[in-house]
Amino acid sequence: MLIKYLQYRYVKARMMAYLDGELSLQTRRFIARQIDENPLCYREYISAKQTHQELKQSLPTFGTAQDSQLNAIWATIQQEMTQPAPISTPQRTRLQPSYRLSYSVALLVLGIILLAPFAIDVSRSQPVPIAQPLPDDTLEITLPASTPEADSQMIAFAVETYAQIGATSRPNIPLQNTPAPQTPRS
Amino acid sequence: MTTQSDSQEQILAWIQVALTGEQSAYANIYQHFSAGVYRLCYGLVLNKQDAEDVVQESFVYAFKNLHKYNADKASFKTWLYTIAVSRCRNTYRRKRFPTVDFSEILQVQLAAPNAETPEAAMARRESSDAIQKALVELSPTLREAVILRYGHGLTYREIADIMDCPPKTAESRVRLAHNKLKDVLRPIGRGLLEDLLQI
Repeated sequence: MLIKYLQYRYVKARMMAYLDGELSLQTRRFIARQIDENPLCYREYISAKQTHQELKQSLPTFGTAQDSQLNAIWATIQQEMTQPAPISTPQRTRLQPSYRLSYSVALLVLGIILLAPFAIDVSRSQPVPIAQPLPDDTLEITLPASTPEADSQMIAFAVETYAQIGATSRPNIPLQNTPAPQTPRS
Repeated sequence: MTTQSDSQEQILAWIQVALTGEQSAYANIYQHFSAGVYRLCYGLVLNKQDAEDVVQESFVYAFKNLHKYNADKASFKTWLYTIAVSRCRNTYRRKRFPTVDFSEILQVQLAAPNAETPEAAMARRESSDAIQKALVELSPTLREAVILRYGHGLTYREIADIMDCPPKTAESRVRLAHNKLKDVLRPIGRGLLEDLLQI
């Protein structure tokens, strides 16, 4: 069964060439034998032959023009042939939009490439903030554990320091929280 | 009776004369090829108006470029058919949707050629309609192949030259078109035969 089907496929593929008489004698004999012996091949042969004949009969006359049509076409052709050729004026070459777009993109890329080094240098030349030492106020002072003895020492140290600062840099500034000395009115 | 080589010599003589500017030579070339080119174009575009336009464009182009024709490369018929097929392809591209021919819809028929009988005219019209419906089903490439093969009797090599493909491809396209047409034409007149074969 499988062999018959394969033979049928072989015959079907060559049926047109068989009908056109374009096969070798050996292949032609083989196909003729298959058509005789294999019903599938016979059916394919009948079907292909009918289509072949129908096309050969119909297509050579399909769309046949009338003389009046051809004469009208000829008159138009003559008119077109006798017309002087249009004077070719040199036209400015117009770039297609796609070309213009590609050129603009290329220019943009070129500009970026050219300007990129300057942009990098500018960013590098900006002054870098120098690391400043932290002000004394922000320094953390670790205080000793709060004991009466330590507190008294701290108070004494603070009073002494304040007295030294007041004696050197702020001699005439009154204290903020103390009232100004009142002079007796005369 | 003129053989094919005589005909080709005659055509080459007309071309030589036409290149000198003689109008009668152009007329002879047109008379010799116009019917075939029209049939080819009509078979491909399936519309009278488009076919007339394509025939006109093809001949004008061919006549204006007659000096470019090289007889060593191909026959004049092949060259002219190549121009016509190329113009037909342009028409497919321009008109993606098929146009409607109102004269065909309204069944407006001009006088039948050679005063054929009404029965013969009807049979011819039915056959033509069936073929047209079948051809519409084919892709443009397959239609070109089958029209050139069966409508004009060209060899696979000539079809390959016109369609700009290898001869084996041309043969394959004709076979594909034949198989598709077999399926399309089958319901038209094959019912009885199919029934007989199945019994």
